[in-house]
Amino acid sequence: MRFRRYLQWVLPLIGSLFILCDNAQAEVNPDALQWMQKSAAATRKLSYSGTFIYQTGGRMETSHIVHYFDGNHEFERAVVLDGSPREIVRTNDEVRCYLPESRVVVVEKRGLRRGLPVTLPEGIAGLTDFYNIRRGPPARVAGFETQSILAEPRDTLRYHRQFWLDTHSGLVLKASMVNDRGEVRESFAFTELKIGGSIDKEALKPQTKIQGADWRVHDAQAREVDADDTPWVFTTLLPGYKRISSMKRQVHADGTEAIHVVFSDGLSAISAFIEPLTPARSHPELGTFSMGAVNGYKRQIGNNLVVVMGDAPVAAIRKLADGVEMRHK
Amino acid sequence: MNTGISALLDGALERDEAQAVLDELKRSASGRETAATYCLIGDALRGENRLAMNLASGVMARLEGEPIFIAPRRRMNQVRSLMAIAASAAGVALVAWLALTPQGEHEAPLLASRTVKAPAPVQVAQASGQDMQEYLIAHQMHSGTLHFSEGAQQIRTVSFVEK
Repeated sequence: MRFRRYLQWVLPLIGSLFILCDNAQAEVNPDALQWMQKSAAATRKLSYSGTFIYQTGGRMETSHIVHYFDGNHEFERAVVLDGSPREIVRTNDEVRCYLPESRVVVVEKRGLRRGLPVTLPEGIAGLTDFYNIRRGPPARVAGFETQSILAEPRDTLRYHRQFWLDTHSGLVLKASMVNDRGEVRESFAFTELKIGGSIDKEALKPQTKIQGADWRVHDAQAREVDADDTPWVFTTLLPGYKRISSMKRQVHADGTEAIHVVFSDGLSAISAFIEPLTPARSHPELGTFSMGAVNGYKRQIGNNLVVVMGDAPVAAIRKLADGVEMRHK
Repeated sequence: MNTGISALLDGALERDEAQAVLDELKRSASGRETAATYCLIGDALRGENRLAMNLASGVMARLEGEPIFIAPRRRMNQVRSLMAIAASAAGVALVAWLALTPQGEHEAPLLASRTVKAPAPVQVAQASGQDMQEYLIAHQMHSGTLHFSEGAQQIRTVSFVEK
């Protein structure tokens, strides 16, 4: 009898100890953070070429990517192998997206190089406040041995992530984003990859023939602005999402300028665009929307359209959008 | 410092103590080297098995920091004993989960195992029209996170824009 009474208390204690230990292990895992840091540093400086699959919303596409680093500069070209041959050509901080069906080339530059949030040490350390970061089991991806890293959100403002990093180079060979119901919203995975060796420079040049008058080049001419100089304030800030950039950019062919503010928690990013409504666009569709793995929400404030989008749950996006207000003079 | 790193790797620190060591590591390159070496030693000792979490030292360290519970000897009511049984079942289930989880590929179960409850899903319409595509490209360009490459993030955009 006495033994039974003893068991009644000891068993749950043992159970909770296991849970405690498991949590302690998950909360602080410097090893997993080191892996992420190694990966972030490695990705830019490697030369590689390979084929990867991108999956989202029941759709799957294969693309080929070539990335070349000459010691100072980065060159990259990705081309979608299924459907229309869309191309993404990047030289350092300038990206050109060739969209043959829309007959448009979108040019996007990043002026001031701020570095990717997750590549900065403070970015990596800050992650642990909002994610449980831990090592998962090793796995084999595209013929490479990888280490998997899991980032599980501590709240409902972000998605689950898993990365598979090449154990030698740190390159991300596979990545997935999973919602709170365990559904995979998006995944990338290399199926074939060559790291190092010689890179055919021809493979870095765009192949799209821009001929005919119907092709349009859109350059948003984004430039950094001081956040305090904009007439807008964000009264609801999301925990963990730091403002990493504030810009002005041209959003439409007629030269309409929008304010673009980017928030990031190191793994997820949310953009807020605020543009004046012109007579041609005086009745925009409002409400929530999605573009593949990216969620968005549109609302109108006076004669302005607020568009907030990002790879974060809709509730987080709405929360940020609903907090946008015009600054009181 | 070395003691701190060692304790951190053993999972023996409270959250704020661990943060202090992490902050120190951010500043000290030699500290990071020490941590890496300790990790290697730990990995070698553990044979890279994720089940081997150095439970013994973690448990002992945790025990020292835990308040002592004095179990009441009388008036153990039925609800309490049911709760005790439920808790021990949870403990056993966790141990079973740790022991039975296969070591190969299993992204969804692993990720789903610690799911945070979210509010009911919101009905979402697929965006139409091309006016959003430039926003999407701009968003992707400036939202760099851990990925293959910065350019490959635009696959999201071009994949959505044209099918």
